[in-house]
Amino acid sequence: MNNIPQFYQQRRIPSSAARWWKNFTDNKLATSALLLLSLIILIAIFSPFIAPYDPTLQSADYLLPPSWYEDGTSAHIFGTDALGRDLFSRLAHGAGLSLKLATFVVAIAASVGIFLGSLTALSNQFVDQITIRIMDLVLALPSLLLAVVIVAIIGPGLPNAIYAVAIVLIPHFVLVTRSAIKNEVNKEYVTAMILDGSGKIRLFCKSIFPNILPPLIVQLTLAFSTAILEIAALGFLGLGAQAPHPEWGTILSESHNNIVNAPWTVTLPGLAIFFTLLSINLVGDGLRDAMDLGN
Amino acid sequence: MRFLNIIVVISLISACQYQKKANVRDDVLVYCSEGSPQTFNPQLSTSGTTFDASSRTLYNRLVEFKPGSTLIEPALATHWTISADGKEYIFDLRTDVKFHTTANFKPTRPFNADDVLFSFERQWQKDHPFHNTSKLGYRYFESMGMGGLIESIEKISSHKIKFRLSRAESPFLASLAMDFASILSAEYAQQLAQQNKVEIIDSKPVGTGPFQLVRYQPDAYIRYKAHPDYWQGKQRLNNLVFAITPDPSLRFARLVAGECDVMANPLPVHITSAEQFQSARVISEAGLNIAYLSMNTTKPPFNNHLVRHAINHAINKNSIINAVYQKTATEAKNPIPPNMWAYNKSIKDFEFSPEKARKLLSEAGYANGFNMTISTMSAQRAYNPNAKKMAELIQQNLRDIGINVDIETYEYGAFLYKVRKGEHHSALLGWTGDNGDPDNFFTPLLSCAGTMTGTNSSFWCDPQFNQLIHQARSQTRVKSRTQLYQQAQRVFKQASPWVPIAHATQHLIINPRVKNFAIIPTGGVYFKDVYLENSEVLNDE
Amino acid sequence: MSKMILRQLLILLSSLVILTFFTFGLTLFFPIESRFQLLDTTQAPDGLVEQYVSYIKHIITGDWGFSQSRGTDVLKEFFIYFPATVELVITALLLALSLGIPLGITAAQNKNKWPDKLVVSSTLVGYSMPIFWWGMLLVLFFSLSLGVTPVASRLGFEYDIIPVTGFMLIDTLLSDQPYAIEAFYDALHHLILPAIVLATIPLAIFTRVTRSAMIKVLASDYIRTAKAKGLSHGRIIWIHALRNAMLPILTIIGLQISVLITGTLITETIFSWPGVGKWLLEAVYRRDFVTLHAGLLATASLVIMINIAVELMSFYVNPKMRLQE
Repeated sequence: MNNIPQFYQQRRIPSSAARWWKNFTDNKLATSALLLLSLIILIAIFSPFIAPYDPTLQSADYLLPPSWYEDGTSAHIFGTDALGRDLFSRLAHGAGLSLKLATFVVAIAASVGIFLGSLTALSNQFVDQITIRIMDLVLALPSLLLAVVIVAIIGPGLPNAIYAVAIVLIPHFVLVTRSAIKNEVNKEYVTAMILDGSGKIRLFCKSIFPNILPPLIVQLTLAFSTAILEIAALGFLGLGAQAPHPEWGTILSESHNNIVNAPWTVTLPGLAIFFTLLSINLVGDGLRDAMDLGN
Repeated sequence: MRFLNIIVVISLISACQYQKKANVRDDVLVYCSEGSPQTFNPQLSTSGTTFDASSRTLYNRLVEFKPGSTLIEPALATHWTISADGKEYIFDLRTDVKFHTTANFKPTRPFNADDVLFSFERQWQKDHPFHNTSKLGYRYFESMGMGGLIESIEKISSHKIKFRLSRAESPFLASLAMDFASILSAEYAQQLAQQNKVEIIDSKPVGTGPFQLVRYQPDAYIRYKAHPDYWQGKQRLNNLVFAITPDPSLRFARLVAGECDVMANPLPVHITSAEQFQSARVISEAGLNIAYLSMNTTKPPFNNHLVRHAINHAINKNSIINAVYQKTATEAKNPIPPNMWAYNKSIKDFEFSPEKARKLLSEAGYANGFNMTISTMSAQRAYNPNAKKMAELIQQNLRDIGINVDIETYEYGAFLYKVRKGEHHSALLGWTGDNGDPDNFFTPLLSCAGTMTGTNSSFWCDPQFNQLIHQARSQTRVKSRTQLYQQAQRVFKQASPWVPIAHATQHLIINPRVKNFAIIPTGGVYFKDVYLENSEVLNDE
Repeated sequence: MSKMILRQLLILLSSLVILTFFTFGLTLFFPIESRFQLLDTTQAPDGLVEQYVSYIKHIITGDWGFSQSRGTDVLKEFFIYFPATVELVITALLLALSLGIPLGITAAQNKNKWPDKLVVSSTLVGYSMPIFWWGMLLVLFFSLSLGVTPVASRLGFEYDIIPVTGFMLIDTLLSDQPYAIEAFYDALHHLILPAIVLATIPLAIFTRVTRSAMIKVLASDYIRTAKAKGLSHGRIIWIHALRNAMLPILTIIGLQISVLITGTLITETIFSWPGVGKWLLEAVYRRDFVTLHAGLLATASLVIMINIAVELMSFYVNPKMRLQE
């Protein structure tokens, strides 16, 4: 190929995905966050193999300190909780649980939200205005309060907490999708497509949807971190996952009682939540910057 | 804008650096309590939290328990006579007892028989003008069967009153020492009726007790001051505050930090770590209580006694006592605690043996196990510091013999409601005796009558057992009662509607500056005659 | 101007109506005895429309039912707990604004230099903080290890302060006790940790919004003109630029109100702060639906009203919008 003489000054135009990726990897912080996040995801996926113990297996070694303490043992690197369960195994399984739940929640919220949002954007002024009013209203409600009320009505427990958090997340997707579509609809390429005689569905799937992906991806990462946080918060308040589920928030609320005499049972689960959220938020931020630059 | 920031920062720093003056704190005893009272009228409640805040601080009864024991001593009644047939009780009342003077009420006369009449008739007569002022109802009075027991109450003179019962009942005097029998002011009620403000009678209380209510902020605090005209003399302690702190770790943190002087319901881990802190001292007393797993005998497979025996064999009580109570409890085998005179020492407990349990299960036809649900409460009680944790341990024990356990956790009120209606499959429950009489355990928890009100959570109604405890109730001689109760305990063990788990030792953690404070075996806290050493609060670190 | 107010009032009204649809819908899932407290039991209306009318009558006349577990009027109860929450929220809001705006400005002035990077990454740290854990850490360190802050509640119990307004900072000053001033400082002292915890996430967001608004404003022509005219640096930033960056900040304050209220649920639990959040959570644990309904309706209408007020304010602040009318 190379020996073909070049008559024109050629510049390969990278695909937009490649451009995002380049912009993203230029951001060192975001890249390291992505590595951290991948590590957490790997731990989550392989937690049954990594965790040395069954997360609900109780032993007679109550409240053993982590291995780096003077009287800690290497058998339990993060120590044990008040029932003698291995804290590292619980946190590793908790990672799996939290990420799985959050993915599930975001999947529900995103599919419902994007569907409603597209519908609203493409329907008439009246329906649009009404939907906006309702969504604004739901957004104005304090999210955790709403989730708490929903859980109070349908009863505490993991599945109910998940529905509650998903419901709370839907309006964000509706609004983002709607405004992104409204932005695109008036652009010239859409008019061109219409003039070409493209059908409504084809128009939406083939040309509009790929162009609203960037804001949606940013919204997805945001929703993902919110979902993890709110599920943990409900668990902490005793309204989400119930014992002996190794859910991070539930672990924290259980270990709260030992804050004075076994502080590691509080600090370690908290750090797990914190680093997961931080890495997701950093990646989200990096993505947004990359896309802003790309445009 | 920049100036504003500077002001904010300076005020924050000054707030940080500012140190409390100790002298004001010296005059206040702060008790970190576990919850808000439902009301300030003990007649309307069955909760110990409400009694701590009302009957035990604000009111007196005709007779009361001697501190630290279950013996009866005179209080508002100086003495009493019981007729030969055991049906008539005549009380002579004190003449020198004054009610509290509050913002709403200034008493014009001392305590007399009208107040006794009012306090009982309000609970007893459905057409009494004050019977329906509260939506809460007189649950204790009713669950004790007082309505049927009392035939008449008669005022003989201004300071003499007669109770006539429909049958002889030996625990009656002890019942009059209980919280629901507290004496309210008839004059106050009358005055409120005239002013059309009857609804405040239970929220702005007037009693004869050692302390009177100053202010109540729900979920925040209750402030009391010493009753200046208390009939036993004004208390040495001038101010008493209940700091409402439902979270046990927060209560402990506040005690350690010197924000409270007495802490309610410490967790076992707090008791073991309290010695590290100068501001914490543990006081303990054998409790009059039991924690047990109740199996609903109306629901399969718990209608089969073999299954119940199997579960008794499968649960490792020793590990529960280590992990849940941190060794601050004794294993239970009978439905009453060992410090009670009717306790049957000779009963042999089911030993912990998963093999025997599995064998019994296959005998019962459940060789492959089954699914069951254990209902628990999130609240922590004196007899069970952590029901959730206990349920998790039992879950693991039962998994070993092939039974799959689901745990459901409820808030205390919701939990009781569910259990009373018999909606549970099995439940982790407990009981603290209120009057020291064994009948106070047997009748509510295991009688056939208890299945109607739901206090008998196993819904186990055995005619032989029921007959035995009924006989024991109408006898007055301790020896013959003991025999009957011991036999009843054998019947109980045979049927085993429960797994008796533990008798918890009662603990409170106090600041060493609190003096003359004692734990009452029947539970609850009393601040009468407690005082503070006049020294600065000891600080840690 | 009046047209604008009218428009906002209309939005307010319609939002409140939609809200009552929503809360009425929720009551359909309540146990029957809680539900009947909010309807006319005597007439026992059967159609949904009749039930809604009866519901609205109750809400408008202020008859929001009685707590099942305490037997008290829930609306009255709400106003007992409300001041404590307002005090906490306002303190946290002031804290977040007074730190967030200067930090955002500093970051904007040093765009892409180290102070900017430091500020931006700290905002991400703040934004990722699970506040229930953060609160526990602060208590562990400042209250239990160092002993410099109180563990919980609004005021030391040695001070007997009569609740007049319900705002502790005001009530202590109104008190005629000899220790009034001392009690005021004590109340302030008790506010520090809860306010820091509650302010963490809004602080991160205010900082970011201020930063991006300032970056936009600083790049605009009139700032360059001002610089060219030789105005002092401080004057340019604090008078000219900030005023124009205020608009997005104002909008975000409105949105943050609901974040703050979400935060109070957790903060009040951790610090045993007797406010609306703790009251509502206790109601959930007690399964007290009447209280829960009252709390949700009252809080939500309040948030809506604040958002409308912010809208009006931003209209007042923004001369462009004023001219449009």
